[in-house]
Amino acid sequence: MADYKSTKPQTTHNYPQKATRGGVSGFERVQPFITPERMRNEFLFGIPLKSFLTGQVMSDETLKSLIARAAAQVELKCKIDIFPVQRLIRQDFDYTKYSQGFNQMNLGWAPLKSLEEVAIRLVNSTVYYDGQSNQNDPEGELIYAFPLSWVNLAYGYKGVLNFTPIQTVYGGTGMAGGINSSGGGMGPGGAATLMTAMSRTRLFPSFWSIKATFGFDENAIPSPLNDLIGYTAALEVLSLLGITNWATSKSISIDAASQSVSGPGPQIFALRITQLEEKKKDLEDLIKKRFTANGIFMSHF
Amino acid sequence: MRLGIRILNNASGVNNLQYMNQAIITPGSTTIVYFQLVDLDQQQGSCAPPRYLPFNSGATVQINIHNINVNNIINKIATKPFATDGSVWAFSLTSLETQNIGSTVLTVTLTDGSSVQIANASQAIITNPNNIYGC
Repeated sequence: MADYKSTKPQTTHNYPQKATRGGVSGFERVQPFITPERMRNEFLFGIPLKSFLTGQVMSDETLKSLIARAAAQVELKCKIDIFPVQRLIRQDFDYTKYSQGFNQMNLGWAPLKSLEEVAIRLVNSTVYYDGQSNQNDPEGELIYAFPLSWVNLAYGYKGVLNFTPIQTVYGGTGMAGGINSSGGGMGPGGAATLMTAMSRTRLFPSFWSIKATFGFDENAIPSPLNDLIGYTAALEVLSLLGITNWATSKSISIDAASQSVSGPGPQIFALRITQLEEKKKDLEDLIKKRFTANGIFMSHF
Repeated sequence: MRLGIRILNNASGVNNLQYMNQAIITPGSTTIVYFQLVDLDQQQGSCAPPRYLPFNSGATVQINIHNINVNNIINKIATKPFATDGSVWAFSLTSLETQNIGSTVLTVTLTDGSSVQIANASQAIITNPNNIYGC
């Protein structure tokens, strides 16, 4: 659980992207998390969830488990958070990004839901010496927290931040104008010293400490993401079921009478599996393209 | 004994209870969630696990619904809606609570004398979107 006393939410919807609050109409674009009933009706329609070998029925608990695992796979594969996740991200200070990209920070996750902190923190997180803790903040002692109002969230849907106003107030001798520390720690004078140091440094590892929440609203999953979860879970179900249909032909004969039946055997769901794999691949590509910042790169060499 | 729960329908009487895969909640509405305590260690094959009755009449059941926002975590004390079946428990959610509800996981803590058992029921609570048009 996280504290959201200080937060800067995205000004627009994360889905549909950039839609204003209340500025969306028409059909349902977001859905609740997939249930076993929906799985059977929409993704496994007409398929008996039963082993051809033992007759064992696939329980709804198993379907729930497969849905949850599919969602976790989608999150990993698409590098996207379905339900909200708050992360503490340490980013290098990179002079090129600072001077030419308005301190661009590519957070590596998307879509940004809200920003809670952009700060400079020490690395003296909690350490134990002979079983005794040094009692420091587990996230590293706070030196300076930037006012969130200075951070540009316009590219947050791709997980990219900028410090828009800093460039206009930074001078050769430090900060011009007032900077108020929003989260305690060092005051305006301290920030000016840091900014001066930054202009002399090319790279400073793990300089920025960013606390941000990624994902979509609680319980509101964009329908294409729900589809991807459904396709992924359905593929697992069909793979489990198909292999139990081992016989490609069966024949029986008694005296002069005989009957034989041929079927696809383990390939019984092959066509559906191929269709689902194609749909899954298309959606994965689309989601990665729309929600991640793979195409944005800036650095100091 | 390993505690688990099964979600039940919102029934008027103990003889009308039915098992549900999950409780489906619409934000802004008030609701009562019924569930049955079960013993997962007694599950036979693919059959559903049998119900579990706490030994002590003073046993308590606490509910926790996690939320990423510390202000929206829901903690409740469940009550026994049917005196004749001590395995069935229920808790109510207010309009504000269903508006801000988070996780799909329901954590149930049974304190039965000195024994404390905790169950995490995955996807036990499914909530419709607060705003069906966007998020």
